[in-house]
Amino acid sequence: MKKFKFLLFAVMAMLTLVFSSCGKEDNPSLSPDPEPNPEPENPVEKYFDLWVAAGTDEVSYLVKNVPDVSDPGLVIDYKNTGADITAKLDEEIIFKDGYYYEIPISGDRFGKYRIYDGKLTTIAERPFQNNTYKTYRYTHCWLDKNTLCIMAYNGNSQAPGIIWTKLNATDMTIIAEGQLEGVEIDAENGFYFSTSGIAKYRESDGYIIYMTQKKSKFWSNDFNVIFIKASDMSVKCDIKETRVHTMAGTAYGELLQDKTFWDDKGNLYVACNTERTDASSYTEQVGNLLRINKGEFEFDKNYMGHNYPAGKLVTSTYMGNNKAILYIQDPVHTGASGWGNNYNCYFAILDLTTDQRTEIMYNGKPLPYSQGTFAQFAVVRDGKLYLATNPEKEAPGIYIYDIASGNVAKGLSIQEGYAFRRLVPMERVVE
Amino acid sequence: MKRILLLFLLMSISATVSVTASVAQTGRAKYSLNGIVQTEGGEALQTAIVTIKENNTLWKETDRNGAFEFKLAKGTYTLVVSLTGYRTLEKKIRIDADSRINIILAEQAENLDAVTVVGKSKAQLLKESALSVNALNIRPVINSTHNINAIVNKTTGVRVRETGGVGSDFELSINGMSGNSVRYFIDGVPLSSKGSGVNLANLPVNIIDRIEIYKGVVPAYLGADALGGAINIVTKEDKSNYLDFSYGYGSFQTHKTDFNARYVTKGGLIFKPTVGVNYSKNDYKMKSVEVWSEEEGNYVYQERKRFHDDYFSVFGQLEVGVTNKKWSDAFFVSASYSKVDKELQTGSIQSIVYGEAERKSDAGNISATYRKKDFIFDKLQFNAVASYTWDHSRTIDTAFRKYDWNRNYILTTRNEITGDSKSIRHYKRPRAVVRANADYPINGNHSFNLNYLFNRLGNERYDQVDKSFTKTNDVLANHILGLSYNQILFDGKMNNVFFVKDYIDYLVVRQRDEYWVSGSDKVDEKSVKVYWGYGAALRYSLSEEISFKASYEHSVRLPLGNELLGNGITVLPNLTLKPENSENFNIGVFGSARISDKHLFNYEADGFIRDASDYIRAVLSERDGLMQYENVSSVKIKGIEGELSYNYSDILKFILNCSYQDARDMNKYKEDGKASITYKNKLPNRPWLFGNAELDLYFRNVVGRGDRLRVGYHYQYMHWFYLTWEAYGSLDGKSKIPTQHQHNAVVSYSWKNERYNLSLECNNIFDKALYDNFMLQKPGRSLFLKFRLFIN
Repeated sequence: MKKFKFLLFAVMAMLTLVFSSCGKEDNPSLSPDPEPNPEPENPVEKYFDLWVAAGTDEVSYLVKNVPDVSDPGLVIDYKNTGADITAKLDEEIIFKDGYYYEIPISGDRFGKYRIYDGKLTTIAERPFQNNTYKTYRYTHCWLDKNTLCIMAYNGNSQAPGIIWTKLNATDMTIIAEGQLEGVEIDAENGFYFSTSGIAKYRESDGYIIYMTQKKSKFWSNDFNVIFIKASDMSVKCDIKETRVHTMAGTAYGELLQDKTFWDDKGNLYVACNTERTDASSYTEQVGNLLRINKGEFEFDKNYMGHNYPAGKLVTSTYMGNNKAILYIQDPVHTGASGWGNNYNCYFAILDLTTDQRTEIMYNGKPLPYSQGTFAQFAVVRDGKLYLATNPEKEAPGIYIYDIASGNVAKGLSIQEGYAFRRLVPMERVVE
Repeated sequence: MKRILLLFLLMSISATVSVTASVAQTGRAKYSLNGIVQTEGGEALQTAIVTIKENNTLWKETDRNGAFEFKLAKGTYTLVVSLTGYRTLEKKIRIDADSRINIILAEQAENLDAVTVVGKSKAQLLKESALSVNALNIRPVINSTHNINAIVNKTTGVRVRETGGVGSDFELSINGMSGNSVRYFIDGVPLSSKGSGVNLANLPVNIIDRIEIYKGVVPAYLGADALGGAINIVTKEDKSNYLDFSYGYGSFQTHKTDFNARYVTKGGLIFKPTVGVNYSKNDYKMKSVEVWSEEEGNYVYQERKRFHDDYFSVFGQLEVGVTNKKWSDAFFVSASYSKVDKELQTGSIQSIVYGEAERKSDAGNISATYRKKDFIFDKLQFNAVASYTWDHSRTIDTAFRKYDWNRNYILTTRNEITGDSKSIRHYKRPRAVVRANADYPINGNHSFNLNYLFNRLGNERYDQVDKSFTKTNDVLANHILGLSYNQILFDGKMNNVFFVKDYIDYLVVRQRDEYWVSGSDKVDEKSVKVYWGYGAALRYSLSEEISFKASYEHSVRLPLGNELLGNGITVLPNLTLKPENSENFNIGVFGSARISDKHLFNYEADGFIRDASDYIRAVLSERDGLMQYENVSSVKIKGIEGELSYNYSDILKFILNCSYQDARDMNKYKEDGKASITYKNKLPNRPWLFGNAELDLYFRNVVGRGDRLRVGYHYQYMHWFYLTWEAYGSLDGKSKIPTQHQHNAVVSYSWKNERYNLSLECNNIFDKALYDNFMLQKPGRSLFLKFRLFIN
């Protein structure tokens, strides 16, 4: 019996070593792109969805489809035009191929929607089956062009866990769901997970890279990255990262903002932030980029990008050629009086090779500083960088940066009075 | 402060001028008419109303000796004397010298409705005062009434938005100012002193004499820091012993019973017990709820019954005291207990379905009231109330289940309301209230009133299950001082009121968790703040047919504990809330025309402006069913409203009223300091056009002598409105709260001089899907049968 126990122990120990060691795995796949573009036979209509908010306390969320945002003479108004989605959806929403995906405000289902020509149309909905999620507090990744994976903290501080659901994006049927096993948490001492965490799918080896904080009632000064085999949702390993306080997004995944990106080699970059030493509030932070190299199961200890003493990373988006566009909050840089709702954000390109940060200029001056840290303002499409701003001295609008030439042109404007919330590149297969 | 000094100056000048005018008038040939109003047994009748019929703006209320006094020029006058519970009496009298008169009123089993009373009720007199006020006599409708909200909702300018059936949450608005901008009182004391669960919907109806609804301008003697108005419930003060019992049963397994009595021992000790119990299953059908259809692979709209909406409330109170003693006109001590158990069926919209969550509250109260005329010195009337309340409420959310309208559920890892851990959230909110009021009449035409109200609210919160919840114990206290001067000029044709109010707010905050939500990092642990309010009201009567009134108040409303501290479940705290301010203006014309003894027309038309800044509103988060109160920097509401009523003898009564409100967002700038697109836009999600029509027919001696049959019909209209900003986004896809046409009918029969009363009420006759709020359906057709026994 003792021998049997010893054998069992040895097997378990080996299995543990295998599944918790975070070494490199061989995988023949080369493609780093987790969200491959569809190759439709029908023509594809490309346009942008411009999301704005109207009102100060009673807020309406309005969406308008605009095919061309490059006309500086065009002023977009929503006066009795555009879709008012307030009664059904939140602005924290997943988009792909002309459709939006969300757990709507009823909080009881997964939904697929189209917002087009001033109308919100429900394409498919499915009720929760086992796992339940809170509206707009989950993260997502695409496992293939038609499989959407939703993940979040299960909400139960007495028995914390991370739940997941795989969905067929065609009709929103649930393919599989469950709770991650093998993630340790000190629940007895009041530790639980980030509300949503951030999930990214690495197609090259079939792993979901999930980042979460294991925190108690107040903020934690580190976070964890968990590698999950997407095919069976088994946990390969769970690594603590202590060089920064947290990944840039903990509660809303990337439903609204880009917090992570892949480079051309298939390395994953994660925007992170750390509370400033002189901070009067936890939200006053300085940002860094961390990297998980392709095929690796840990952060690259030799890499820390955006090594600057100031600048909280709000969004980070890859623009090609080993460069990223960062939307950075820094009231000192912008001359704003404080961190809150001031015009304290600016755009800068970060060269991932040299770590050189270059602010985007227009006519020899910095692009107007912008207000809004809960918005997505940078979009890369067809060799151009589309940058939305909520500036103080002029109407909200779009600037277009030509990636090849570095030229910047002024695009359309939004009628004064709206709060510009989101610029979304959409592609719709014309049927 | 300059404005307040200016107001004082105005009051002083006005007082000097008016006293001079009064003296000058007195200098003309005027005679004194003294009188005493008594029962047939010789007992003095206090608070009887004596009106000069030829000039009905001239009226007096009898004192504790039943005495009244007029100064009248030579002539013939008709005195009309009325008092609840007694037959109204008319008496002609010739004045050509100082005179004295004794008036004897005969008892009446129950005062009939307003159409039978030629003399003016207190409610009518209040309506004709300088203030903008709806005054409702409850007694005429007491036999059929089982919900005060329904009665209040019929009046001009008032809208009650209910979220469901019996016991559901509701929001009452007066002239567009809603929610907590409206303060509730019972006999001048905050209603919350009876417990946080006691409200208009569950208070025993039988104890109520009348309801006063003050619009915009609130008298200083209420001690209210109300922005939009106040509701004062005045309980009945019958002089004789009685027993009043009623039981009603209605649709959706609704039961309601009220018991109320007065008994005087031989030693003069008065006992007044009150009990009110409400229960409803609220299992009405929801007409179009989303239900998942596996066959169709989609959600379909179907009818389903509500299955988790039981409501139970009980209110018990015993008052013991004495009246007409040398040391006190009235002294009572009382103890009360209230309990409310409520199951929660839905979140902020009906597609958020709960099946286990509950809310419970218990409250106990002790209080003492003291009233004395000629207190310390002659003519000074003093009354005081001291009250202490233990209030304990719990929200129980311990089911890890997600329900749907089929009553099916899935097991989850989240509670139902917030989607977090299991929770039994406790709130202990002890409340101490002290009110002292002194009224001093200089003479019959001038009086001063000084009011002091102290209100202290504790807020201890903890969670029995969720150990991650931070315990706190906050204190909110305020002192409100009010001084008013009332003058009557030109033989009662003119009535002016001037007042100032001083609000002193004291706050101790200990909750520091989730500071990014509550703003606790932006407030000091202890703070004292002082605010001033002031106003004036004027009424001038050209004749009985036409009178004008105007009033103004710079009102201040301090944030309530609930707004500031949240309720821990559905209302998030916001410790940075500032008091609301509003400049409230009312202007109106009213009058009545009597064509012979049979036809009586009454009309009233009013216009109002509410210019509110730092306006506090519950901002509904569509996201997860949570709310948080916030300061909306500025809201301007303009409106007009009117009421027309016609009485034919004592057999027909018809009332028609309509209210139009235009509420605009006056936030010029967004949080970022730039212009807001919705500036001056019509505010979304609020009713703006609504009205009522009511017809009552009365038949007497139908079966036997002394019986009475009332057949009534009520129609209520509410125009549809948008959930979100009307001007932005395509109108096709916008969500609306649809137009409501609600038809109700009532048949009420009383016999043996109203000793026995039976009524049958049918609400929503045509079984329409009615909504006051977006996707929160109210009950369909319902019946309610009520029996009432009244013995005196």
